[in-house]
Amino acid sequence: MTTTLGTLELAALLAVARLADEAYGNAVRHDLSDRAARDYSVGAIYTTLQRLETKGLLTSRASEPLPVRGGRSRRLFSVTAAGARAIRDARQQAVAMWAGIESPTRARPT
Amino acid sequence: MRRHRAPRLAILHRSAARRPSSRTERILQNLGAHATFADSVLGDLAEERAKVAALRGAATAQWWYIREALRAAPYLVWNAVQYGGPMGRARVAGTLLVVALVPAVVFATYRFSDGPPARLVIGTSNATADLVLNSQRPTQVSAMVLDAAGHALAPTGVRYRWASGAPVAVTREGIVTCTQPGDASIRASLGAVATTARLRCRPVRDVRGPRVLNLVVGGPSQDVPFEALDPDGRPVTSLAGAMSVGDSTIVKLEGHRIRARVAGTTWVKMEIGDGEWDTPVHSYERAPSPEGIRVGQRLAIPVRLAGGEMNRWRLPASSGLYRVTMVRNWMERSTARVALVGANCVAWFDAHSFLCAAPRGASVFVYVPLSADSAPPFSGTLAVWRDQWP
Repeated sequence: MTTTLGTLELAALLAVARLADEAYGNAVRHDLSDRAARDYSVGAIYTTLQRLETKGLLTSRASEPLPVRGGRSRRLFSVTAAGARAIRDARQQAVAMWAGIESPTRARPT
Repeated sequence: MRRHRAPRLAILHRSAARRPSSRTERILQNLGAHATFADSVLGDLAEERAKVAALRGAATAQWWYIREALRAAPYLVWNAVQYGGPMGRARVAGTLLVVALVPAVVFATYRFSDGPPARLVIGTSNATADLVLNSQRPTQVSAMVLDAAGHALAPTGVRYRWASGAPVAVTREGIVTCTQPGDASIRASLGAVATTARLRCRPVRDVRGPRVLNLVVGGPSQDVPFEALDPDGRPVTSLAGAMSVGDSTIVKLEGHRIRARVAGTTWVKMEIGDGEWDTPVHSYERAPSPEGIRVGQRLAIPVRLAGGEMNRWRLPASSGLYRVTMVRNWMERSTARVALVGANCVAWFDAHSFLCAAPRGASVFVYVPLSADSAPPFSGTLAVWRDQWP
């Protein structure tokens, strides 16, 4: 059985996977905002990342403190093995759902 | 179904978090927000703000930061609710309550608290109206004291004086004595706030009106006709007085007009200056005919007659008196004649009103004499009241 993911959760999980070692809140936010052409707030992104972490799909660690962040560390996320499985499952589900559809607006006649 | 849960993560993050460095962070942590969550959000905001400042200037960055901080606030609060525990939730609830209460208290303070005197209005709430005085007796003039928001304050300490115009005696306490007709200005002041009003002295000694008013239930409201006269008997038109009725369940006052509610008798009173007038008001219910009228009933029978025409009705025998009146319509110039046969009558309050005893019954006739000119048909009302008392 696969973990159920919301749209933003899946997008954030994919962004973390894509960004690899550079996956922290701002980077994920910019990645998602650029791809979805939508301005996500910092709070929304971190709430999602934290939820994914609670589900065991992400793990996080603190970077070295940075002066530009007022001495705060970046919180760097990485995808866990469960997260990688969740991405794979989501892809399989999506492919299965799109089977038989040639274009988003025209269905293949049966 | 396999659930991926890491309940220990929060504990690990809490222990890994450094000590809060900013006031905002401390507030958020005191509220119960997850330490790592608050640290990450605030760190990202600070980093992004520095980038925006480098690209678009410090002012733009400041605005950007405020906007993003406000957008992040609900998530931080929600995080505090989720991770703060019972105490944290209580603190969040308290904080939200305070945030909601502060504007409410500020609004209520502004709305309901009184400010210093800002405006004086003499006599009436309408500052442009003149003050009309119809009495020759000493009369207290009052001023409303208002603050800037229009709240009425206690009118203590207001001082009055005559300012100009006709010689009118005005005391410091605002007691005015009008002895002669004329216009004067009086000034009221309270500290630095002052106002002037025009006082129109129009003494009224006498008020006169009709001896009786007859109304029909369901009919239109009527002006109460009256005349106010000064000590020399001349009509006065600038008036400030009070009109009242004895029983408002029988008649209703509508401004200076009067309307019948139910059949009955009451009085209307007009008090203006040193004069007053009161008169009985009889109201009658509509009926097509007075025949069969019961004891205590008051009926209004519409009458429409051309010259030379006549109506006749039979009144039942009664041990009580009949009161029969021909009521003219307001615009009617002529009046139909009334006659009773078989009854003993005396004039009541005018030539068209009778008090009649009819122990064996009587006939009432209403007629309009034939006239040489082609007058329009008469239109009026015959009012019949069968009293229970002789």
